[in-house]
Amino acid sequence: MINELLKPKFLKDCIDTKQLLIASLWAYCRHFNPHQCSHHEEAYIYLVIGFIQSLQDPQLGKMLCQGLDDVMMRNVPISDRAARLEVEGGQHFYRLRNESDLVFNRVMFPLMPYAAVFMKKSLEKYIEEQSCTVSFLSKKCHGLLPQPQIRMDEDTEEIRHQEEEVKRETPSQSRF
Amino acid sequence: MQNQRLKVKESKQVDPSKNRIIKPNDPRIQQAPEAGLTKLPPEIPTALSPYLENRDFVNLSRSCVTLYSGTHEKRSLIQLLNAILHDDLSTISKVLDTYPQLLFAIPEDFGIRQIGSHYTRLQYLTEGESVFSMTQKLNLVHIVEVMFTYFFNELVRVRECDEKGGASELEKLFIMKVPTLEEQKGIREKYIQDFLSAPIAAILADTTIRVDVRKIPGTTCSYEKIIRYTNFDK
Repeated sequence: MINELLKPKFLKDCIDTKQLLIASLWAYCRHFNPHQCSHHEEAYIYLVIGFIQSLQDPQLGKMLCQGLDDVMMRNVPISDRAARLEVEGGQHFYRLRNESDLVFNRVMFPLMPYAAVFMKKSLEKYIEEQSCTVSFLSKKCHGLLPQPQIRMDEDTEEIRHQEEEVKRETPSQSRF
Repeated sequence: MQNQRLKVKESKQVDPSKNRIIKPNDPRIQQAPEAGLTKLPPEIPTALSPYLENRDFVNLSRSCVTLYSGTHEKRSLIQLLNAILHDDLSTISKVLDTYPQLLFAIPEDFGIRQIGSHYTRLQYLTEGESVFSMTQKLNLVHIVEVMFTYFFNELVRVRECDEKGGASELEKLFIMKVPTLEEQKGIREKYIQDFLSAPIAAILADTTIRVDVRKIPGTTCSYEKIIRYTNFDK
């Protein structure tokens, strides 16, 4: 999995890391028993989810450092510590030292099934907000909200006023 | 005799400025514009560039005005690409304020064929992609938001100039789409099958696995074992 994810790839084939993180949380809830805290479960949390977490872009990384649930659901602003991409213990969010550290990425929440559900919801909300931004930008780009249209409307209003004035004047002229 | 010896000693003393050891971190003395190094003919940079890595070429360009002036835009592009991957919004704005044309620049034309983040360690090939399209394909919405002001200014400028087909061509450059909920579900299932099912099966099959949470990040799992679990190809 590591080789597959880290090998250089074309942008058209690039992996949506946010969807991959959600998928890893879905798989966690599906395959592991919530009432039994086993070594298998913890191995999956730290080795797979932790690793996938380290693939997220720095914007989401900062939110994870601050607490994704807090940022998305309670509008907590990103602190200086989170902006430096540091977790609460002062450890860096991304493993920068050596290759072997790569897989031991710390998980940003006490992962239990209910926490995974909260995180899924927060992530889905984050993606939803992003999609709203994208749709707004695309509307703006394709001419639904540009400034020139407003000018056009003003012009048409002026034309209407002029037409109305002409209509008012024409009956008086006809009397003569 | 003593006077003679003193005279000999004085004659042997060398000018201290000649023997000065130049350290690599010392401030560099600015060269005169007519210095030999700056008079490179334009053929030399073009001849050198295929044999040098991008980083080496950029480092070399700091020692020569000809190379420096030729690579300034390229260095700004490298700075911009790094800022995109490392979420440095202020640098993106600064570079695009100076060089708004870099938004539509194709890194491949500048000899940049691969970009990578030192945070995530993900590597991307930049074949045929512009900076704007790359940012969109990487789904970096907040960076696209910053770039969009420059893109929209260009769009308005082209519309006002009434260039035939120019505005519609520019509009086509905005390709960003977020998948629908149904599509997202499909992507997740695909990812579970492609990347996650094999490690899960391997972890569940191993009865000897032990993870001591208190010792994280140094777990009791050996590195080789982890690679075996997570390496999908093997």
